[in-house]
Amino acid sequence: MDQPCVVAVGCDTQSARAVRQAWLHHGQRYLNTVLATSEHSGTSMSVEEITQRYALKEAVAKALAVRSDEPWAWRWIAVHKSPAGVEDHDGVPAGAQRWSVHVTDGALQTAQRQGIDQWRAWSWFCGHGVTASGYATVVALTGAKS
Amino acid sequence: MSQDRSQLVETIRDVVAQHAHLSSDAASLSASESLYTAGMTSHASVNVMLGVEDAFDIEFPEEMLTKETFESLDSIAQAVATLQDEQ
Repeated sequence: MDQPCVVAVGCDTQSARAVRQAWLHHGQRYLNTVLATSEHSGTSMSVEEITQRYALKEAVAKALAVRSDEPWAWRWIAVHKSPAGVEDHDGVPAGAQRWSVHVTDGALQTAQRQGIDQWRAWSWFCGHGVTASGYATVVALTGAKS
Repeated sequence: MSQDRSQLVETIRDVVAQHAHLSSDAASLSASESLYTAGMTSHASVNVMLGVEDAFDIEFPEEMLTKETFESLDSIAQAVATLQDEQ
C-alpha cells in the first residue's frame, strides 16, 4: 500500500499580545477576517486559541508557498481542534494540541495544484505576558488516505 | 491629481504608523519602500488592511488580498484609488 508523501512543512509563531491588540482595536471585523465561518463558535474564544489558530493558518500559507501576487484570505483555512485522545500514528509532540485543517477557495486551488490532499497540524501555547506566543507546525501530504 | 495621491499616501502612512509595528519610523519611509522589509509581519498586514478600510470607508475584495497589494505605501494607495474609482 502506498504511503503518503510529505510535500511541504510549515512552521510559525505568533505573539498573543499582537493578537489581543488587533482584536481589541478591530473587534468582530478582525475575527471575521482571520477566522473561517465554521470556526465561529457560539462560545467566546480566548486570545490563546485565536493566536494558535492564526499561527496554524500562517504555517499552512508557508507550506503552500503562496506567491506574492496570489490572492490569499485567512478565512479560506479552517482549523478545528481534534478531540483529546485521538490516536496519532505519527506521534504528537508532548503538550501539543492536534488540529484538523480544511482549506477552501483559493487555498484549496493552491493545495490541489501541488497535489496536497491531507494535513497534519499541531500547536502549542507557551509563555506569559509579552512573551506569550502560539507555535504551530503543519505537514502537507499527498497520496494520503483519510 | 498628484496632490490627491500624495494625501492618500500620507493617510496610509498614518495607518501604517499605527498598525504595522515597523522596526523603523514610518515617517521616514519612501512611498515605494517595502513595508515587509521594514518589519511588517503578516499579522500586522491584517491590521493595516483593516485600518485602511476604516480610514477610507472601503472594503478590499478577496482578489486584492495579495502580499503585493500591501507591499508599500504606493501599492496600497494604488489599490485604494482603484476601489475609490469603482465607488
